[in-house]
Amino acid sequence: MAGRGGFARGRPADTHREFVMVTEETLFDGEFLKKLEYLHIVSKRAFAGQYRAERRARKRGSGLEFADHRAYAAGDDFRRVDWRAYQRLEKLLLRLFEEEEDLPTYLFVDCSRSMADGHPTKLTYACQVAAALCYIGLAHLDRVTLTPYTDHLGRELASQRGKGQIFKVFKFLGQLASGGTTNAKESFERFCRSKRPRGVAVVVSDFLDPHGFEDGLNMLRFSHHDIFAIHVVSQADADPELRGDLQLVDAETGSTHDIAATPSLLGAYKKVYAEFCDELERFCARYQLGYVRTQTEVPFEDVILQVFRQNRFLT
Amino acid sequence: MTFLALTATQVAWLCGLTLAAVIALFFLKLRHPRVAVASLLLWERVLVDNQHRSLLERLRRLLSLLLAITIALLIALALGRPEAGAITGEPREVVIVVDTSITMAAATADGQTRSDHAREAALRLVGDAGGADRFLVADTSGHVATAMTADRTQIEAALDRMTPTAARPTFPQLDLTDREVIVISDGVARLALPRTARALSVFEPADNVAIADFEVVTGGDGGGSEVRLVVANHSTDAKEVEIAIDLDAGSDADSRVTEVVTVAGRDAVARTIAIEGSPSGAILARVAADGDALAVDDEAVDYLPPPRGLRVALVSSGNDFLETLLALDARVDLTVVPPDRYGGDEAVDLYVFDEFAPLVQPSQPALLFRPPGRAWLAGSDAVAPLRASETGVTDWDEAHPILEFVSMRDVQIVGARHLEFATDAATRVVATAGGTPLVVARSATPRWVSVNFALDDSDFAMRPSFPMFMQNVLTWFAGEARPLRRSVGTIEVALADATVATIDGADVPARSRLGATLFEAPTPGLYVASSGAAGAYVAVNLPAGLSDVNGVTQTGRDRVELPPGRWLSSELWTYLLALALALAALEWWTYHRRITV
Repeated sequence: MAGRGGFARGRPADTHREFVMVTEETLFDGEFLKKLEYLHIVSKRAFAGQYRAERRARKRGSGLEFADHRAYAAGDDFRRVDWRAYQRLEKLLLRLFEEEEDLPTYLFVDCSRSMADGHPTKLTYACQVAAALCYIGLAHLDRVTLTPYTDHLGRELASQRGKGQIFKVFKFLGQLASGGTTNAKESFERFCRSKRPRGVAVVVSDFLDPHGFEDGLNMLRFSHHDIFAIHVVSQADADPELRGDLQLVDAETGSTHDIAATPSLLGAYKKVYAEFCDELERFCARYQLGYVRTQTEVPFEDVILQVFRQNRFLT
Repeated sequence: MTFLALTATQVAWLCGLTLAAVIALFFLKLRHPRVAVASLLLWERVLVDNQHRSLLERLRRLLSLLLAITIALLIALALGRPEAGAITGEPREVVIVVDTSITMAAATADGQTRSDHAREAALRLVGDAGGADRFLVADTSGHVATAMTADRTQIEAALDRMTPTAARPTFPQLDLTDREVIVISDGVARLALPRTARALSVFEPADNVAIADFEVVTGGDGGGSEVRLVVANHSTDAKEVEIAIDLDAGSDADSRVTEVVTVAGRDAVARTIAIEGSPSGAILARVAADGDALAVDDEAVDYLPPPRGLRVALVSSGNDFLETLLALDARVDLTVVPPDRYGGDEAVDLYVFDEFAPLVQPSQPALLFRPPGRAWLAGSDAVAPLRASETGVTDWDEAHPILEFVSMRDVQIVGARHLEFATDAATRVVATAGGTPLVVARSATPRWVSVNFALDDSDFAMRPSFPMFMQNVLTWFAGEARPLRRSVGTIEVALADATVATIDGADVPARSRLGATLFEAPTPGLYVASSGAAGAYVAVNLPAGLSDVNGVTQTGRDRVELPPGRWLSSELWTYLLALALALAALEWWTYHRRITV
């Protein structure tokens, strides 16, 4: 079942399987981790958290940041009465503080066969980016959920909190393998049906979805998640080095097409690919979705520390 | 259109198979290299756009197929060597005969020779002809230089090899059926041209003086030697000719005799030049005149054997012819012996027996006139004398040394002994029509020659040939190497397995045939043939009359031109291959620019 392949070792044989070697040793050195700890995933909106954490939540609570006053009601804690206001106004007003909770963060990693393309592969690159984002979230006590998908949702790494969980993340990512076709709509629809708390949804993918990228992103958008689209692009996608008479094989579906790779044809392809990227970017801009395009040839540290910050995905 | 290499049916099959093979190969789905891409999603968009871009792009594959078919068919047609009369003209087979007689070596006003002009004319004919025309090139020495061919390079090489020779020119023996015949000549040589032949003349008037005849003889007036030569002036104007006789051409000694004569135009002068002393060896004559266009006929050579005295005993009852002739010969010391006084022990070098023969063969050579039958002669006189009607001379061996320059034609013999000789012991030199020997010679030592008729019974003694005959017999008996006088060409010497060299010692290739030796003497000169102890000098000169450079015998002034091919000068297959090559290059060029894919 090629369409159900991917995600992890031990699944049925898949000739296109590629395993992602994501480990702490190979990815992150200590200095990089320190830099990551200073970063925060930016959410345009405040979401209700489950645990106390460092994120400003919508509800008022016992945080340090003053939020508002309200009239005292019987049973309120006298310690929160604003006596200075009582002196001036002779009204019992209660000081309200912002509640700091964790941020639900959902990381969706595209594990379809098309992600096996590039040097390094787009999947490897996506896993590296996901690992870094996970670490950032975990370091700030956010609840991070890592979910691979192809044409369905894969087994997810359930909500993790705290930096100590990063090794689980590494292990999880290290077991991901590419395979199967892409159907983001189907995958995200199932995700949304599961009534998850709203939060930041980060989709790391090449968005080469035969069914179109719009439907998948719309599913998350309609569920009121704060969406970031991280578009992983390989050089082979953007500027394929093809020459002569070839039979192109679709990595996901296995369908073929004979072409004569002429300069004009390659030029036309590059033009179409650029239009595709612009289309995705315009879509994200129209619906205020975060969009970051990154090439696999760009070191992912640069992407994390510079590109994401420039795009206000991280601060 | 016709085909030279294949039949039309074969060409049709070849083209059909080629067409089928090309189409099959073209549509055969060759598996292209497979390249995995992330998704065909975007590629399909590109390909859908591209496929409908223009009519030309939809016709690209068809264009490529058409090119491939055209190239293959051109090659297939070229293999058949096609001919199209409308394009290359009707193919012709032309025989070009180039005159290589000696007068073609005459210089022309432009510094070249008639032979050079003939070569240029032949090349012009070939060059102007159609590409499918084929040529056979031959010369008048009997040599066919090429087979019928369209290969211009081969024809040119054959023409380059042709040089004028002094051999008598003859028209080559060729199959001329349905072939055009063009003879390129100066018109001097007498060639038996076929009726259909057309002559292309390269004649140009020229001045030429030549030695028409040359001979050195001994025993002339006063007993010395003399040179007899004929100087011919083939020019139209009178020429002052310097004659130089080199009496010792084989050495460096300066012993020249010169003389200047004036020869009128188209005339000849005979000169006899007495030579003082006793010259011997090679004697060379040269003539020189202003504006002489032909050098090969300006020299002639002869050989004079060293003089030697001969003691001759004439055993006769009285014969004025013999006594007078022998007494006049300066080198003969004559003794006349009556037959009854013959003892066989006379101190002589040779005997001449007149109607007498000793019972025992003498130890010296002997010339016998009407001898009686003797055992050593292997003959008998028991046979009755021949009647006059039976003695007609019909056959004589001109090559025998005793008959050199001797004509037996019309010699009248009224009676002769009918002696039969054993054929293994003697050679029949002169015979009657019935085969009865009249003169018999024995080469084995001691030699003898038997003349079976008496001088009184014939007019032989009164003929000019008789002194020459006697000279030849005495020389033959004496073993002197009298030169053989021959004309240039193939020379035959009656010596088995002889080696031949020029007088300068250069070897001349020779071959043996039937006990004789043959060699080629293309130019005048003195040659020496040696076989063991025997040898012969051969004085080779130009035949008289060959060098009349202005003696045009044939009109030969036509301007012969072959109509050139209508458009193309080479064979059609070369253009087909060139076109196929050009199309292949075009296909390669357009393929790499993705015009035809």
